[in-house]
Amino acid sequence: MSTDGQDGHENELAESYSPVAPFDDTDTPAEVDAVWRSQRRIALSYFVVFAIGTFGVGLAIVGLSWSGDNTVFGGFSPAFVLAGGALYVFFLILAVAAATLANSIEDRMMGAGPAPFGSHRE
Amino acid sequence: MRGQRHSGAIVNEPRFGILIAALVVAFAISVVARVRSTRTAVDFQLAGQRMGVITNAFAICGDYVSAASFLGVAAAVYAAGVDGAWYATGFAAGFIPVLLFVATPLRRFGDRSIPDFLARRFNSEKVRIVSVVMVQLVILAYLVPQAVGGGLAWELFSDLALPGLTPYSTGIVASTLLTSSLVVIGGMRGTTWNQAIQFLVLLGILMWVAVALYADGFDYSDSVAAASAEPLRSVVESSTGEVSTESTVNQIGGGAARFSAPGARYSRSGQFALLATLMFGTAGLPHVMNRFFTSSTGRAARKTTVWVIGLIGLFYALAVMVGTAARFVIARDVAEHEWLADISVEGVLRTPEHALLALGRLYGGEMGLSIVTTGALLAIMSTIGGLLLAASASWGHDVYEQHLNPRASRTQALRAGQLVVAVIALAAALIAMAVDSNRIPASVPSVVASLVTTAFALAGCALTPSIVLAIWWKKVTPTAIIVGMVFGSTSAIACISYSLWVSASDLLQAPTIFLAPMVFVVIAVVSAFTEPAPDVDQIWVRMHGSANDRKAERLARITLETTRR
Amino acid sequence: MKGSAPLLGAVILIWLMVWLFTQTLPTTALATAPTVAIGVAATLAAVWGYPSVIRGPRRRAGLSAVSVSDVTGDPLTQVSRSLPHLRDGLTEETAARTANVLLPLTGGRMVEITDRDRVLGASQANGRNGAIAGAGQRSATAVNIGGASSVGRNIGAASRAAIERVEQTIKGSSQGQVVATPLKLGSDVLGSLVVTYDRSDELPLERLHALGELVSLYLEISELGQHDQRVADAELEALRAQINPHFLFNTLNTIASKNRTNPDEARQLLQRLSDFFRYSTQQQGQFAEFAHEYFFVRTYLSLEQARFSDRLTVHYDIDPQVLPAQVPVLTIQPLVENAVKHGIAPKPKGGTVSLKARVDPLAGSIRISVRDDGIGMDSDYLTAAVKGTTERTGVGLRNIHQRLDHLYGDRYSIEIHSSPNRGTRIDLELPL
Repeated sequence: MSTDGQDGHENELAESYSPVAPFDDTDTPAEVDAVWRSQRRIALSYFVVFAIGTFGVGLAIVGLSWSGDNTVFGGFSPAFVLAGGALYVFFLILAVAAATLANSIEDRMMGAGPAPFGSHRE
Repeated sequence: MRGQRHSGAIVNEPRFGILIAALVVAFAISVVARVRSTRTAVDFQLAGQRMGVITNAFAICGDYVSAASFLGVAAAVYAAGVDGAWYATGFAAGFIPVLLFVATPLRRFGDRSIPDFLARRFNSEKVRIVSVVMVQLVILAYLVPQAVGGGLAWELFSDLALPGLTPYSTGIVASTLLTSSLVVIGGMRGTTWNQAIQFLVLLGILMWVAVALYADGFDYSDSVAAASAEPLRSVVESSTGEVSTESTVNQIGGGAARFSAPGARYSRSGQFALLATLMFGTAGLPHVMNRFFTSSTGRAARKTTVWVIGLIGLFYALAVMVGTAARFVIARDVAEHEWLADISVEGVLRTPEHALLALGRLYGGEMGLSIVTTGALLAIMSTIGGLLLAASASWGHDVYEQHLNPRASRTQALRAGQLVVAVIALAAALIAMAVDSNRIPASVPSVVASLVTTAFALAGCALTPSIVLAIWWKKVTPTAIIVGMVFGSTSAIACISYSLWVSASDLLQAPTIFLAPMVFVVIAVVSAFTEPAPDVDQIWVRMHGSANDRKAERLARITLETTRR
Repeated sequence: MKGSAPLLGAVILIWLMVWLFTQTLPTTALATAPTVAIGVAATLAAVWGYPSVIRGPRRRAGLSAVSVSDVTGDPLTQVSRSLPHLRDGLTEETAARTANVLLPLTGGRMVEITDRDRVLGASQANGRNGAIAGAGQRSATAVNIGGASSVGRNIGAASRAAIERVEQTIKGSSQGQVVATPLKLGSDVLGSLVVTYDRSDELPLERLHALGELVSLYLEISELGQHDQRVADAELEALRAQINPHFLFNTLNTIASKNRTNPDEARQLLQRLSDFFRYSTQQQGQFAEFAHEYFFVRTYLSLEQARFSDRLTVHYDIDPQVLPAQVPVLTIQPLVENAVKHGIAPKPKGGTVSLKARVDPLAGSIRISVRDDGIGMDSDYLTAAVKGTTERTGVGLRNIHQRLDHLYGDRYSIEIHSSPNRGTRIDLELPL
């Protein structure tokens, strides 16, 4: 934190700008426990979605001769489209969603919480 | 039957120009990085924890994309169509469990290696020792296919052989020797930069091949259609030594296999077994997981993983496309190129691993072949480098410093690590040379890929369940973890050995799908009867709390502001 | 939370894609059973995986000034100058003035403004202004429009009856027609605007309807103004309760004593104390994100934990979906404080305070539960607590009741369960 009060943080109320070095900022075990339980729940949910997507697709591919003998977009078979491209897109989307969610849970449930509270938010 | 490897190489001319140039660059990077670093064991292993998110992501990809990914996926797709594409999907899928369950907490607990992490989590040195053993096993299992890949690439590249060795063996020696020296000289940081750049190079090569293909009039969907129009064929060797091709049998539903239909290689259960094995193995790969310790914060580790998933997806999508193209193009062009006829039978390559290499030659001439071979060798080297580093980290720190010589000086610890690098490289090379590809179950689409699968199986059964439970369950006990790791590894090894030497079975060769749940259950049951580690709450605050992240981000912001002024 | 719309969109998209990829694009379409199975599986996956999207804070819709021309389409300058006096609410005086102002606009012979029970003010075309003498007598014709669900021009049965009665009384004298428009606040009917016409007049129903809306609008503004005033009062009260000298004294004491033995912890506590007071003084508006309130509770409990050390255990069980939801500000911490002060503190062994928060997007409600295993309350005490007449729950609970009443009407619920020595539980259910 700087001691220069005009440092362009206009969105802070003047009173909340404390010209002192940041205090210690720690988490209590209870808070961390709560966050951990939430994270565990959503990690498992996303894993289930992921497993359904991947294994479910596999199941469809394997169980249906339709997936091999057929053509989509010209020469591909549905099985090929899935294994060769669509699943990678699915993984990326899932990853971005899971990471965003995990980050926002941490932001909101630990530390000073979302802005503008807490003196240690500059 | 796989068919004998052709003893003649495609070209004899010194392609070495390019290869040597690339190696010099790699060396130079290591040396430069070393000059800028302090030579302590920690730095040696961790590159000062200052890797940016994207750099680290590229490095992780470089670590992860081994010969199996680069050559092996294209080979698998070439030989088995959709079933081969599952390899790529499985490799890519492996990072989702890492993102969801492992990346951030592992980094936050902040230590240097998986055994270190587990030891502190459970406050138990026994756990450390057992996990070091597991880590070494996985590393060795993963090293062998890399060396094999190196040999295969080299023998296609040139006839050059060290006295008394075949070109294949020479390739093994060259790749392991070179890489060990790079590792010893450069330490982690050198290897990190090397790997980031190497991945970039590999990605570039794939893109170049893709572009060349399209310039030549390649049409993805048409090629798939053409390849599927007739039954898939593979090379077989009759008992009299004659080689010919025959139709691959469709493992699902019988009949002839086709390129774009599943079943060319795996039965129904085999498909899932493969997928599950690859998916669970990533979280237990020591060299990949160690990279997460170089992220600056837990949240950076998370972001890095997302980047990895994106990059890896791109890489594998390209690899699948290239493998498909190979099927089509090689059959079409075999008449025009003698060298192609030399390595194939009736338009089908004998060694599927040559697919990507052949494409390089077709589209880039000898230059192209050199580039691709260099790429393959680089891939192998970067992975071997990461593996050796992980091995040395766990021996050097976990065993040597903690137990054998607690009063070791830094130099001594460093030397211990370097010694381990040499030993393990040698072991892997010897094993790889002993691998006779004819012993691998007949219908593997790719030697390298299937050897890597066994490494993934081992990692997924021995390490992944323990790591995941250690992070997400407070009541796991040290005894349970040890039992879990031992049970996981021994049962995995048993299944795989049975499949390799007694009677081949897809399911047993990739046993994660049924073994991993068993390991979870075992750990749970044993935990119910034993004492958990003390002080779990404080551990949790470190592992799942974001206080350190916030502090680091605040510091970074302050530093940025003060430097800006 | 407007959560269902994107989910619905996602499900539709999923089925579209399934249809596209299994029926239209491939050369042979997939059989029905597998297609349906795929679609159902994908939908299930989306529904399961969906609720994990946390979105940013919503802005509470504020009431912006509405210009009169928006409402009626004509520049009614005089009206816009006069109606604002309705801000003081619907009283006899304001009703009379309003009736005056509206009379020329209605074109009728008489305008009356009533509340639910009686006529408040009227104005007649023959020039007699102001409150009609005998307005009270007028109540004999008891215009009684109860909570009829009158919307627009459809006036409910009660109103119709009222109109008939009015018609009866004037039938004799002037033989006119009567039109009544409800004056509403939200869906509550507060009163009516009753206009009497000659029998032969054409009734400007559209305009009357618009005028009714206009007056309702001003009444709404008035209600908000008063509401704000009440709430501002309540806030002050809450703040006074927060800046509880005992709490401050005890916490500072704890910090001071820890300063000698564990200065790091003392510094952390000081930080939290500062956070605590900053939060309680920086409140703007009536609502805050649950995440903020949760932060406040955490801060408070960490301070109390420092003071009670092992005697106070804390447990949180928060569904991440609750975090961005808007809840009334400074509502949860007082409940927790009660639990600590009156439940745990008197108990020598100490105990556990737990906060649980769940959201039910389909039912559209948030459930918050504060539980402690302290000394509890016996049934007499419990009744008194519910009525808000005892110190046990202090001003806090009564204050919370009032504020929730104003904010939600009857769409919320508070339940207190308690038994002696077994602990107390307060369950709060709020709409999203």
